[in-house]
Parts: sequence; C-alpha cells; structure tokens
Amino acid sequence: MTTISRNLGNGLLPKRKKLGFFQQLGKQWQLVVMSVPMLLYVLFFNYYPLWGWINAFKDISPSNPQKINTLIPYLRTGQAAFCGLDNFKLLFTDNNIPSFSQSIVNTLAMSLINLVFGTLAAILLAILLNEVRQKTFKRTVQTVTYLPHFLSMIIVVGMAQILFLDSDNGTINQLLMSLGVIEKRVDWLGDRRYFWWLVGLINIWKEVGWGTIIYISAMTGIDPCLYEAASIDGAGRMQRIIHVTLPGIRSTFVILLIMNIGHILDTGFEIQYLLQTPGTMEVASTVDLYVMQHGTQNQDLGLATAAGIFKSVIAIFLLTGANFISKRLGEDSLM
Amino acid sequence: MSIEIESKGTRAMEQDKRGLKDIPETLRKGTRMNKKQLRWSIVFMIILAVGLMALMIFAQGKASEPLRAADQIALLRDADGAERIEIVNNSTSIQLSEHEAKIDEATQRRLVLIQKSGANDDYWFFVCAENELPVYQESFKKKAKDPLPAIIALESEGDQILYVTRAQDADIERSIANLDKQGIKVTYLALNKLASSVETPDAESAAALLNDDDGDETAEDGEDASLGLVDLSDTSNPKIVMMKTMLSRLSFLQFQPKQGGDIMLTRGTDLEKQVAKAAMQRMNVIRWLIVLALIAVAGVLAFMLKSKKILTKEAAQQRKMRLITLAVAAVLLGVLIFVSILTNNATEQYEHVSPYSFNGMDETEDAAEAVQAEAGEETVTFHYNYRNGVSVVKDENGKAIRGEDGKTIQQDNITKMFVTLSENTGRNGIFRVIEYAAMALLVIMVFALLYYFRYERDLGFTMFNVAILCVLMIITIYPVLNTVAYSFNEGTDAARGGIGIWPRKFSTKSYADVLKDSEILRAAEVSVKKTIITTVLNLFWTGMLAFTLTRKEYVLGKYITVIMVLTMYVNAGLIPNYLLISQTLGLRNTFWVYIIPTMFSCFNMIVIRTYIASLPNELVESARIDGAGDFRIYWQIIFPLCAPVLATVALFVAVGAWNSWFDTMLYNTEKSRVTGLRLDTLQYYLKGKLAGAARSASQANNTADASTELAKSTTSEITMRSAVTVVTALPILAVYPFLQRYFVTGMALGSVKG
Repeated sequence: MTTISRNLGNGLLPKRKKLGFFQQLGKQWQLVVMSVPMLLYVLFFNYYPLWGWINAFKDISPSNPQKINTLIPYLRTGQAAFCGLDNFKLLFTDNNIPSFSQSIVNTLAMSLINLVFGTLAAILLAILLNEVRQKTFKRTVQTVTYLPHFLSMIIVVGMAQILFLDSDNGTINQLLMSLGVIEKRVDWLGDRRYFWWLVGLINIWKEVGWGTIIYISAMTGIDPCLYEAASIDGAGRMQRIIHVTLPGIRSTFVILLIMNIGHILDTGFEIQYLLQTPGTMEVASTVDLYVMQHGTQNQDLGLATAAGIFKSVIAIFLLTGANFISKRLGEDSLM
Repeated sequence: MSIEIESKGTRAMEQDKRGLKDIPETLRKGTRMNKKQLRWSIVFMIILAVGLMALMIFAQGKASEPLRAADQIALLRDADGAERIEIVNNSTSIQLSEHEAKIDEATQRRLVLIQKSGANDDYWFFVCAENELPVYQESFKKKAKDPLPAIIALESEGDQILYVTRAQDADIERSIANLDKQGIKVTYLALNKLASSVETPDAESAAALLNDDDGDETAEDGEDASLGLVDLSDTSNPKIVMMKTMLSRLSFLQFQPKQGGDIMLTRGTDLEKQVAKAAMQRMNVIRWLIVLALIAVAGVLAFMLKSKKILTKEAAQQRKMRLITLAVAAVLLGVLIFVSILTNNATEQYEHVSPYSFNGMDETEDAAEAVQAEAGEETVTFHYNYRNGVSVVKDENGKAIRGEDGKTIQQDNITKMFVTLSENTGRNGIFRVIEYAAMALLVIMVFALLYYFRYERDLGFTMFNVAILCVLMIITIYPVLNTVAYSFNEGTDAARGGIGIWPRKFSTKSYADVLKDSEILRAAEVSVKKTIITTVLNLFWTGMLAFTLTRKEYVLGKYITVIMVLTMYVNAGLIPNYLLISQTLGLRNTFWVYIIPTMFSCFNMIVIRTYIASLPNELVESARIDGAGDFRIYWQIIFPLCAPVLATVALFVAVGAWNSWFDTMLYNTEKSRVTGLRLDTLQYYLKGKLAGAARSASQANNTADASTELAKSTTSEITMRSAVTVVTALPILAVYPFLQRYFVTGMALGSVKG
C-alpha cells in the first residue's frame, strides 16, 4: 500500500516545492502584520533598556551629575567616566541608612515570612474549602476571600493604617485592650519590631483567598475514587485529608514553592513604601525600594542601577536553579 | 471469643454502611424533626433572637448610664467667694444636694505640687483630696515610665500658669506662635522626666515654691522632686486664687497616657472614673452571662436536633458531638460578641468617647482666655471645643452661660450653675436596634447552619470547618464594611473612633464633599480614561499576537515566543525603564505614560494563547480552505470564540490599570505638559490623603512639613478619607461579585502554563 501510494504521489501530484524562509514570510504577511508590532514593542520596552545597565559602571551620582541627553541617553551618558565596579563596591560599603545589605536582609526576611505563612494559610484554607459540601456556602466563602486581592495596595494599607493599626483609635489596640492582652496602646506602625510581621499579615490577608485557587483546582483533579476507597477502608475526614488530599496537591505545592523561591527577591516595594514610617525606615527598605529611592529620588543613578543588576542577576540564578531542581524532582519544567 | 469477633465484625460492617451512605442510621431515624418540631424550633429561635436583642439593649442602657448621662459644668463658689469651675457628672449619682456637700469636701482638697527641678523648673500640680493622694502617687509612678508630657508655661503679667499637654511638638509650636500674636508670653518646656521620683509630701517646700515669684530660686536637683501639699483656702495669695481657678480645671484634666496625639480630657475625677469602670465591668459581666445563656441554648438546640435517646450504643459518640457542637457554638458566639463589643459605642465611652479631645491649639487658647480673665478682663469665655461641637460661653459675672448651639442655658444662682455639656453620646437609637437585629440574624444564621448540617456524619469537623470559614469571612469583610461605615458617618463624630460596621451618626456629607471636589473628579476622569484605553489597546494587540503564536506554520512564531517568554525572566529593572520612559521618550507628565509602557503582558498573552490552542484546529483549516486570510480568521472566527478568555484578561488588565499608582508617582506628579491639568489618578489622590493622615497619626515629625500635613488632616477627615477610599474601590466592589468567576477561570487558565 505505502509503495503504491508513494508511487501514485510521485507520479500524479506535482512535487511540492519547499518554500524559502522569506517566501513563506511573504505569504504569511498578515500574521506578520499582526505580530511584529508587538515584537518591536517588546524589543524596545523590554530589551532595549538592558543597555541602560551600562550606567552601573559609570560614575553618575548626585555629586557628579551628568547631563543626560533626552534623545539617546545611553549613548550620551558615555560622557560620564567609566568607574569599573566602583558602584558595586559602594553597594556593600555604603553608609546610607538603610544600607543595601540591610535591604537584602529585609527582603529575605519579608519574603520568607510571606512564603512560609502565606503558603501554609493558603493550603489550610483550600483544604477547608475543599471539605465543604454545600455549594452555595463554598462559593460565598470564595467570593468573600478573593475580594481583597482586587483592592489596590493603597486601599489596603490605608485601611490597615488608619482604621486598625492607629495607636489611638485603631481597632486592633481597642480589641487587645478590651481583651486585656495589652495594657497600653501599642504603636504598631512606629515600632520596627513589628514591621516585617505587619507586612506579612497584610499580605496574607490580601492574598490568602486568591492563593487557594491553584490548590483547589489541584484538589478537584484528585480522583474521587481515592476518597471512596479510603473511606471504605475506614478513614475518617482527617485521615482522608492527610492521606489523599495532601499527597494530591504535593506536586502543585512543590512547583509553587520552587517558583516562589525563584522570586524571593521580588517582594516589591508597594506595601513597604506605603507602610513605612520614619521609625521603621531601616527595616522597611527592600532591594526594590532601595533602587527606587536612590535612582528616582536621590538621582544616584549609578548606584541604583548597580543594585538593580545585582538583584536581576541573583534572580536569574535563582530561577534557573529552581527550574533545574524542579526538573530533577521529576516535576514539570517551569519554563 | 467467637462472639466478640462476630460483634466486631458487625460493627465494622455497620461502619462501612455508614461510611457509604454518609448518614448514621441512628441519626436518620432518631433525630429527624417532624414539621411541627421544626416550626416550633424556628419560632423558638426567633423569640430567642428578639429576646436577646431586647436584653442587650436593656443591659447596655442600664450599665452605661453613668457614662452617657449629661455632663455638667458647675460653677462653684466657695465660702470665701472664690469661684471654681468644675465639670461634674451627676450620673455618678451625685445629686444636687449631695453635690453641695461635696463642695465642702472639695474645699478640703489640697493643691498637690510636683516639682522636678533642673535647668528648667518643671512643675505639675493639681488639686486633689487627701485620700486621693495615694492614687495619684501611684499613677505618677506609672507615668514616670511612660513618655511624659510637655509642660507649657503661660506667662501673663508676671503670673505663670503651667499646662501639661501631650500634644505633639508641632502642635505646641503652632499654638505658641498663635499665643504670641495675642501678646501672651509662653515658655515651652519639653518635659521628659516629670515625676521621675515621687517622694513623700513636703508641704513646706511646695508652699515655699508657690510663694516664690521666681521659680528659679528653688531650683533643686532632679532627685529632690517633691510632692507638696498646700492649703487651698489661703486666699491671701492672689497667685493661689488664680491658680485655684486654673487648677480646678486641671483637676479634671486627666491626661491619658497616650502616645502622641491629642490631649485627652476626661469628665470625671479618678473616683468617677472608677465608678464608670465598675459599671463597665458590670456590663461586661452581663454580656458574658448572655454569652453563656446562648451557649446553653445552643446546647439544648443541638440536643433537640440529636436523638432523644441518650443511652444508646452511640451514646459516647453523641456526647462527643454535643460537646463539639457546644464548643463551636461558643466560639462563634464569642466571636459575635467580640465583634459587637468592637462596634459598641458604650464600651468605648470610658476610653475614647468620654474624654474630650482637644488638640493643642484649642487647649492653649482656653488657657489664654482664662489668663486674660484673671488679668482683669471682664468676660470669661470657655470654648469647650470638644468633639460634640458645643461651646459654652459665660459672661462677666458667670451668670449667663449659653451653648454655642444658640440655646441659652438657664442659670441658677451663682453657687450652682449647671450647664449641660454633652449630648447623648450614645449612638442613634434606630441604628442600635438595626445593629442588634443584624447580630440576632447572625445568631439565627448560626443555628440555621447547625440545623442544615445536622445529617453530616462527622458533624464535629463540619462545624469546626464552617466556624473557621465564617470567622475568616468576618475578618476579610470587616475592614471593608468598617470603611464604608466610616464614610457614611458624620465627621466630628467619626473622629472619636469606635465605629463598627454601621455608622453611628448617618451622614452623606463626605460624599457630597467628594463630589464637589474638582480634583477628585479630575482624578476619576484620568483613572477611567487610563483604564479603558489601556484595556482596549492591550487586548487588541495581545489577542492578535496570541493568535499568530498558535499558528504552527508561522515561521517567526518560535522566535517570537522565545523572545516574549524571556521577558518574564529578564527585566532591565526600574532605573533603565525609568530613563527610557522619562528621558528617551520624554513621556513625563503626559497622559501617555499611563498607556504606552503597559501595553503588553506576557502572562496575559500566554493565557489567551492557551485558550486559542484549545480550540479545534479544524475551524482555522476550514476557513482557510474557504479562502479566508489570517485577519479574517482572527476577527471573524477566533475573536468571537475567545470572548470568555478575552473578558477575563480584560478584567485583569482593567483591574491592574485601575489599581496602579506607582506610575503616577514616578512620572506624573506635576501638571500635564500638554493640557496643563493634573494627571493624578484616583489611587494617587487617595495615597496623598492617606499619607498625610498616617504621618500625623503615627509619628511625631517635627519638620515644618509635618505640621502643614497635620493642619491638613483635621479630625473629621477620617470620613473624607473613607469616602475617597470607597469611591476608589467602588468600581471593583461593584463589578467584582458578578465577574468573579471570570477572574477565577483566568487564574486557572494561567496556571496551566504559569
């Protein structure tokens, strides 16, 4: 059969000519029109700025201001002298308050709090939701707990600051005092001991519901036969959770964990920036905040860019590392 | 032996049966209510709820009476003719006649002077009765540990009056500047170590100190701070007479150990406060009794829902269930009660409502006026600008006292003149009823849940689960409701705090103000424009790109995909992007800075691409055979089919655009270069409002900048801020419940590849 058809094909149909790359492209001009503008856009807005990293190796600081030309800034900053790795050295020896190393410590601390407690809370909530049989109730809980995810950080931090953590009229102080937990008002916002935990708390409040989605969808993927079998074997609710549900979401958990570790330096700066007070400035500064404050406020471009590069490079290492580990563990590749 | 084995076997079989059917045999048979029982239990629940409501209202009314009753200013004249003005609280069952008896007691009060000598002479002195002295001493010892108040010394014609305030430095400085204009010399002493040691009373030294015109001469070492007793009835010393008037005021100026912020002025003496506190504790006891009663009732109800047979095989299990039910009901109700305590005005009155809060300026103005009066001017004017907004004005003889609300308050003879100071500070009756109704409804809901889940096999777990989820919902939704409640409250009233999920004094004034504010309207317009344009452009380009990347025959597809996906991992960082947008493109202070940099998101592209890839390929193939080009295929076939995912992505993009504020802060803090109008978005506007408030609330910042911030954020602004918050969140709050499933779908789609 095959030979016949091949012969037939050879004999009867004209041989298909393999088109060249540009000929194909020409035929696909409509697709090109649809995709290339975005390609150019991405090249310009996401890749071209990489050229700006050169600023990290130049001596651009408030004390040595360079006139930045508006047209082709990265070429014109060539006027500034190269200074090698001075900016990077400065990062770790600077006398700024908060210092860069302090910022890294803060970032890691807040990330870890977020990672550990956020993940735990999300898994717990997902399990509880998964055990609810009543559809309406489940949907109500989901609707309510997803809500804060869609409120902007300004709104969330504003509510937290004024209504809850305010040392005079804040609900938290009132509640704790009426319960007799604390004797006098605590200045939650002004005390540096609480800052990381406050950030963690607010983050968890905002994101815990949203974080459950991925776990719940993993749980719906678990074969119901497993539950049935377990309950026939006499497993109770808790045992079914421990022996069926938890193993069922293991791979999701691992993937998310690895991914989050890859993004551990990306705590951002929104909440820290909005929540910080003069008293907590030092523990509030994250790497991003450091970059922002030195770059856009102090005009210390060299230092800020160096800090940004430092973060990016570490992030790339972390991400590829995470990807590698995930592959080694037999989970899906992330990229 | 064999019998035992057999019995085990049957039990196992029973369990299996139960496991499969999920409803215990006994529960199915024994516990199901018939209709009559059900009806009666519902009636019972309603009666219970109404009763609970009535009981709580009653309890609150009773217990908080001493706190809410009208406070009065009494102008008291001593036997020697010296006048004193005192705030009394007749609700502490001091009737008028009794009060006259108290006047005698009051004259026996001593002037207590605490002096902390140092470089500056710092005093604190007040009037108290002898038996009150230990209380004060105790409180001083405590206060010595706290950050201590500042003392302001007002000097007028050589007389010095000291004021203790806890106002923030900026406030004080402002007040002093204000007083300077009025020609009153003010010495401002920052007092950090007041009463660091309280020694035994030393009447002589204190009296000597008081008789000295110049306090410097008695300056001693810090260790020798002394607590002195001076006889108040010594009217030969004009200074004492003057101070008596002032100090009698100070006697009811109790400064709360607060961190920064306002001066707190309470109504009563310590004794009165103790009475109030006791009343509060009584009230709490009643509350707890109610809680216990509720728990008991819940237990009874749970029992009703269960089998009437107690001595069955499942007795143990049932008892466990009952216990669990009880515990869960207790937890739920406890939470409800705490929420109600939080939202309850009466409880807060002792702490937060009854103290009149002055800010520094008002208070020192009072002092200034009092000083002027003592210096021989005819008119004494007391502005009690406390937050209920009533001021009291007294004429030269102290005869006519009227509230600033226009009512002339009837005068008595001079020795007892009582002016009603406070309105009913409790919340509006109807709102209270509604709030309790809501609470009662919640209780009913709890019981309904109990009822609903009565057939669950492991009731304990379910109850626990439901309870936790309910608590979680409360925690999540409470801040939002609280903000809404604040925004609908009346401004000066809201500043006292303690509002729960229902406004205390309803008012839409803050919304009226918001709508009048052209800045907000402008910001809203910018926000809306930004959101719409960003969403449309983003979808337009991202959708088409995603489509082209699903076409396997597209020769550039592979490369473009790699380039796009890499953007998720490679990021130039903030500064290069900032330079690109502000310097290279020069987009600063233009509207386009909101649009152009946010036109693409790889995550959204992947979401759409995944969806398109899941569509059957035959659609495209057949269309191509029919001669359709790629444009036509996309716009006429794929695009309509993609509506769900595009809606999802549109929501994500729109929410992101609406919620972003950082771009404004970075690029658009000035007026537009093109139109000359401000380009603040709503979020940024809100940030401005909140930042000022947060700074004044949490941190004493002594710069001039901070004081202007303070001046801006007056007390009533909390409602304004809440209103702006609500307006800013409104589009999301309004749309979110209906579109939630789209969000979730999108998240699930994204997680396929994300």
